[in-house]
Amino acid sequence: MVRILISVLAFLSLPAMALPVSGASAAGRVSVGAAVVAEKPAGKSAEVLFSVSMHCRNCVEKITGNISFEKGVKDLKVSLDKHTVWIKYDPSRTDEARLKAAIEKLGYDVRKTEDE
Amino acid sequence: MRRIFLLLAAALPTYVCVDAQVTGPDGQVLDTTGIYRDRSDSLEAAVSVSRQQGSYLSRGKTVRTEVISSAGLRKMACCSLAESFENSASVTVGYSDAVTGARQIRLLGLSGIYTQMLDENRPVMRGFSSPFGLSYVPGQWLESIQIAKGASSVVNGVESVTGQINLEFRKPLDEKPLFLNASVMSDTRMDFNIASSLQMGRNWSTVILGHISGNIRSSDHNRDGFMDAPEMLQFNLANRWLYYADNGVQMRFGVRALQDMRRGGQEGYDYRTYSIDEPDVPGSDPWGSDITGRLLNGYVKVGIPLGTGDSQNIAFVADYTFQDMDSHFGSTSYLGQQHSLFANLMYQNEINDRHRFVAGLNGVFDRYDEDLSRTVRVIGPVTLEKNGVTGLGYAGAFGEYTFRAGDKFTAMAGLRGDWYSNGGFRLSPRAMLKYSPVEEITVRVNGGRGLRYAVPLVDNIGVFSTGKMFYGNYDEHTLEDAWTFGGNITYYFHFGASPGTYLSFDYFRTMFAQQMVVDYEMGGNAIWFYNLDGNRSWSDNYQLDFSVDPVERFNVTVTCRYTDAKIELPGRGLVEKPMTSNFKGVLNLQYATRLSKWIFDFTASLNGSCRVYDFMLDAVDADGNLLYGNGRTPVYPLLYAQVTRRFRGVEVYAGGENLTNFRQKNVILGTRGSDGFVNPRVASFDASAVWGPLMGVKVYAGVRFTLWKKI
Repeated sequence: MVRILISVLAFLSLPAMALPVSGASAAGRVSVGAAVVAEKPAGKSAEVLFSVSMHCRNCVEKITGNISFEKGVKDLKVSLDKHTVWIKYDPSRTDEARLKAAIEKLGYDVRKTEDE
Repeated sequence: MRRIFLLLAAALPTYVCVDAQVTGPDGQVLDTTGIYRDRSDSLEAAVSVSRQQGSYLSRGKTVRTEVISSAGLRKMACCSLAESFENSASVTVGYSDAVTGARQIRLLGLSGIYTQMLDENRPVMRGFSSPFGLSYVPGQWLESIQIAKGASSVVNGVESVTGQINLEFRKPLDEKPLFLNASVMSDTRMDFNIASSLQMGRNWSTVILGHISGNIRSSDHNRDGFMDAPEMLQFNLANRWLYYADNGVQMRFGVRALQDMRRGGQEGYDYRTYSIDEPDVPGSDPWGSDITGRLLNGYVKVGIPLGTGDSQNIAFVADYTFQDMDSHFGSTSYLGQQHSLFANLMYQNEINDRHRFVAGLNGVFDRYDEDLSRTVRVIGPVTLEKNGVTGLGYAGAFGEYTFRAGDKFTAMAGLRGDWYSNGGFRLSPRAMLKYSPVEEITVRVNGGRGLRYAVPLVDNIGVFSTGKMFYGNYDEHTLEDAWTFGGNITYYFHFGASPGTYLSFDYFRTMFAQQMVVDYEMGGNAIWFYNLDGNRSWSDNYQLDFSVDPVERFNVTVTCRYTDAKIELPGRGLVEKPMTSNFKGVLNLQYATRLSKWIFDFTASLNGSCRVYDFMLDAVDADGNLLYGNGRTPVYPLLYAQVTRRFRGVEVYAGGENLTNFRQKNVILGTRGSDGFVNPRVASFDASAVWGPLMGVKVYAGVRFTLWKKI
């Protein structure tokens, strides 16, 4: 039962949770995950603010529901009243052009902006 | 499969959010003018962060309105509308009885029959569907719920006494070609939902909604011989369309079909063979309920702009519902059919930013065809029969004027004049004010009249789950008449991680001028139905709400409600309304990790006591101990918890309900037979005195899949 639970948690990649490891297979799975993390360079973050042609709550849901899961995205804030999307990302894994393209793929006009 | 849907989605031209919702500038009104503007909740909830609040007090609306957002609807299993209110203190959800599974809400301390339920501003859950209506709306079909307290707009009639609950469904314009949900509960209840929003060209869009739910088996945890919940099976299908013409004309229409079957009580009940006579072998002819409900609904809404711009327009709304209810309770059968027609024609003129008015004609007609046969034991078996057709309706004109002075002040005054087939001509005035002297403070005041026809037996479906005889005017449709006044003050301030922290206080009072009283206490083993006729009946409600994000992505909401409801009964003077809980406190905690990939929800509630019926004072448990020695039910806690893991397009959730495992154990009352169980064939039998949860701990798990439209 404990093994199953550990496997499920590992599959779901529960963040920053130290899993108690008792079984060999479970230990292997966790150590693989740890190895992947160790190989990554020290994470630097970059930020970008896009002006996006969104209109309603549904647009907010669509953007958060998709862009949150883009590779390299670390944080996301969407302002409906300002029509902006702020993204914090890992520049070693993605860049502004890819993020812009990802939002455009959802059906919106996107341009980079400096205005808060 | 996924590829096919992606291709389909990509093939459809993308145009975004023409709009969906139809509300006026006050955010409260109708379905006409807002046809031409963005949905009212768009800029409402301070959508400056990526996480949507689960429930919040609307800042812009003239009437005090609590919004349960789509995020709030995902906090719990929310299999049906009834469960959606579990984290609200404004609305209390309870069971009508221990047999049928019928759920009933209470708003402002009064039965849900005094709350007008709206399906995108069309009145629903009227008549035969009111006892089970909360189970007829799958929670996963909903986009949001708005709970408006007190008197609100007169445009959709004045059947709302304590308030309006408006349900917003998934929209044809939602960019979700496919949504799937499946969930299972530890009591074997399973829910399957599907929704598909499709846009076809520039002008046409549709949403298809499907639902199947049921349980494989039912159990009897408290070993009282009665199932804790009925065995049930429901099929529910709806299709809604939106046509948006290039010249601005909008037409919405849709159909819905539903069948709901539920069997409760003692296992093995068969209404075809059941007899009121004692069987030779105890338990060989079990008592139970067997209910089949069917509903067919069709509606059309048309909005036409007049001239250029959207300052003037006319709208027409028509809604037809057919309902059929076959219900059997032991040796009682209640068979009914209802045809309902609602029509509304409105003209709106937004003269300028300060002045706006709506005027229109509105009519509602209900045709009830009822067939009641009830046999109970008074001394010997007595049979009550009633059948026939009743037509009830009202028609009239209304007008509503709105004055706005920027965001600081809004005043609305509405008046209806209606002719009631059972009550003659009635005038119904209503008024609402909203004032924000400074940005941080909003004060609201509202008041007005509410009128509705009672449908005594259906409004109180629990009376069938008793062995008691009915007396009085249970077959009449009294025109109930009440006034509700109240207000609210909300203070917004910067605290913690969010500028949206608020503290809010409300007070509302409902006073009845006429009411159908259902009295369990007038005579032994009898239920009396009579009109209030000049006696006093009121309910005072006080509520405090506090919401804060102490740190980013962590929301805490605390709500406390206190209710003081009294009624003057013949020969007994002014008494506390029985079975009305005097307080409820709710604590909601929600924490989301960055990007909301994990969401943790926790809800705790403390439910106050209520005065029990006189006949319950002598009720004893199986060991002979008095159940309600002090005349009141106990205070009890309820706990809910849920964990959600979000992936791209997929959410997996698991949770638990009633984690304290508190149950109302002795819910079947009456004289016990030789087998130790309550005998359902005697007049003292009562399964309708429900005040607490009937089920213990339930755990559940589910998955939601959303396919987004992309280009």
